[in-house]
Amino acid sequence: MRGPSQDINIRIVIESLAAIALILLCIWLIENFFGRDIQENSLLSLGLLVLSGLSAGRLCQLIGLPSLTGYLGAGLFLGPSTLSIVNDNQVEKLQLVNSLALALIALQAGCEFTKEMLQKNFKSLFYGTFSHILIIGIGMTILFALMKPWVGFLEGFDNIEVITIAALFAAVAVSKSPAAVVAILGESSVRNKLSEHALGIVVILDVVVLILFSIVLAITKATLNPDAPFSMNALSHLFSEIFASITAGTFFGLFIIFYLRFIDRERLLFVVAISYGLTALCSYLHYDTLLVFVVAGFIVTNFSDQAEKMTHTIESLSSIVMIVFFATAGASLHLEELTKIWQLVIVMFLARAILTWLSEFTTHKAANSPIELKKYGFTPFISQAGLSIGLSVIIYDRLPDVGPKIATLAISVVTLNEVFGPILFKWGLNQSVKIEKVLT
Amino acid sequence: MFSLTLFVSNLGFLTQAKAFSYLSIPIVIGIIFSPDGIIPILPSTREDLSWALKVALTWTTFLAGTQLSKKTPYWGHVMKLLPIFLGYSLFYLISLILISYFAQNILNLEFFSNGNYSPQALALALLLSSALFSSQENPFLLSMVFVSLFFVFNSPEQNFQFADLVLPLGIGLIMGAVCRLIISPESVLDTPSRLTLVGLAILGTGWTVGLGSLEVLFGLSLGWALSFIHKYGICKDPNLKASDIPIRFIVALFAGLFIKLSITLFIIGLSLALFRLLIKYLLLNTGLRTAEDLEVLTSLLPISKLALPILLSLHLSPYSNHLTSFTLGSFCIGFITNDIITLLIEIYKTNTLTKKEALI
Repeated sequence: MRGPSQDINIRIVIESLAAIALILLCIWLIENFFGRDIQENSLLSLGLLVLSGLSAGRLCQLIGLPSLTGYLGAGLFLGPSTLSIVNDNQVEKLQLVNSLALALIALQAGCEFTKEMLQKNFKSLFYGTFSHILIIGIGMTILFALMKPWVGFLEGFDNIEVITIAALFAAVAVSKSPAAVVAILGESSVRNKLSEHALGIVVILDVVVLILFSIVLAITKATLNPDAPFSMNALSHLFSEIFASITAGTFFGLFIIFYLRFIDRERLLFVVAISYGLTALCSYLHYDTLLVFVVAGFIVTNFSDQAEKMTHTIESLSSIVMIVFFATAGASLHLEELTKIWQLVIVMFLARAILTWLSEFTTHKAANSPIELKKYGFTPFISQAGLSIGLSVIIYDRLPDVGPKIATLAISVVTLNEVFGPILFKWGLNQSVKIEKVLT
Repeated sequence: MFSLTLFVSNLGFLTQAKAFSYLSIPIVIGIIFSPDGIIPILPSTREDLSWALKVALTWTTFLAGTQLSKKTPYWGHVMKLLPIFLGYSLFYLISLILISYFAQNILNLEFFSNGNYSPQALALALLLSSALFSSQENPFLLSMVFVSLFFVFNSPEQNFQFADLVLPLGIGLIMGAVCRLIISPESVLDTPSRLTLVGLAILGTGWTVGLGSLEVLFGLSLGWALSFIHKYGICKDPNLKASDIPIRFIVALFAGLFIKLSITLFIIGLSLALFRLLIKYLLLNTGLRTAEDLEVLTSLLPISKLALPILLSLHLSPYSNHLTSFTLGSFCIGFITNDIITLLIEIYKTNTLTKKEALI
């Protein structure tokens, strides 16, 4: 997914920002001189998010940061935490764009999964999946449990209960952000061992984390509430949904191949139509949307010669969708929650970063990966976004007493990861390219 | 429903037809899925998507606005259109009589005062008739729609003012000037230009909607400002125009979703479409207006592409009431009827031509 043009200079950025300031001034003038109040609406917010996201993205590109950071920053600046021009209600209404963004991200990720790529990176993906679950999962569980004296809401829980709550928090910590990884890779256009490893791990972990999270949630609920017995029903249900998602993804992958091969008209519209249609179907049938689209993309790439058409179409559509997606993500971040428990959040953020580095170091040591992966392999996995927030919201809903507190902590950590993760990944990607150049 | 419409727009069937607008298909799909239709969707689902529809309305009129400078009327054009305006006067009278006869009971409107038609009734007939009688060659008739609004909505609760007309046009000009700051008129339609245009269109729509005015006016003004004042080359880019047809399909789908069918709507829409064709046939047959077959099929008979977005925008605005619902519904029935009849005429003409060619 290619971001806005790379040909950026300071004049363009200043002019873009001046343009936004001019619009805001005109709005103020009309409101005051014509006596016409402007009613709050999501379109005004969306327009401001797009224009300011574009300008902030350009500014970030100018100083060597990913555009994505600019989009997030613009959202954060206009959102409830800062200027409050965009509120939660308006962000909620923009979910229509977010579902399209997620579909595009997943399709793009699926298209990157070639058989050759999987064969070539099998070892690092295999070890990586296990090390992330074991090292980050167990590490975060132990740390969280040890932090009991400093975590106010754990007071009154016995050790077993604390460990299960810690495990639930750790399950969220294991999750990554496929969206951030795909967006950064699209912007930089770099394709190397690090990019392949990053894409592979984030997609595989997406499925694994869902399973892991469901198991831990079932155990935690049973531990915290002895009246609710541990049930494997939810888990078997989850497995059947995953199987159905893979089947649906395969079917729609074949459908996409058929369309691109035999009809091949208005590809852009076709992608929009299939994204919305399939997202609605997944939501109705409770399928994992991300998995369905990844499998569909995988089928298109590996069982036809239509993948190039597909990725080209996604790239032309994604620029606007990405700005809206990340700007609304920025607007939905609540810094005030983070500031209340900032010491705990920073400890968790640093611990997760260190454990991520450790798990990647172990992976590449075991897989005997090249030096760039050993050094910078951890950088893509700091980012967290939609999936992690989604899991936190489930905790909020399912555990009435302690759930909201765990969710607040988890979302606060996600906020930091969302802000710093993309910057780190872009840096890591650039460093890996430099090493490759030196080696060749 | 959304995907179905996009697929229909993608299939591109009936591409041989010149007179058929294809928009009738999404309107019918919309009617089927409307809250009162055969497969009803929840009204809340429709309302949730209304913000996306407003952007679509802006975009479709923005694209029309970029073409406005090409349609600047010149003397010869005015003379050519004069018989059409005469025909329109007759059509207006028919519309007024039909509405007052059939729709008096359902409209809850005072049709007569002191033995004459009330200004509101006259304006309502003007609104519907000008939208229906407009054509590809004569979209100027649609300006009557905006004139009629001053009289249709003149109650204390709903009062269409001069500012409602001027402010969105002004916002379009402001956004045009802002666009000039961000991208130069010589720019090509690359990703930043496209993003800037989309961003400005969305922001301007939000601003116009926030002021309680019509976003279609903003779209027209922005398109005109960019192509005419600032002479933006991107306005001529085929890739920009490529978005026109799919957006029109979406607009037509939503128009269908807002229609509540009734016998009265059927009678009025159907009869007005038939009268429209009859008047145009008379104009052509009496020699008041001369045109080649192709011109008749592509310019004279099809209803202006702007009429549907304007009426839908009106129905989505704060002025939305039973009158806008009635106008939109009658117009859509008339539109579908007109589409079907013009398609039949085209098929008949093509067959006659083929037979003649075979004989030769």
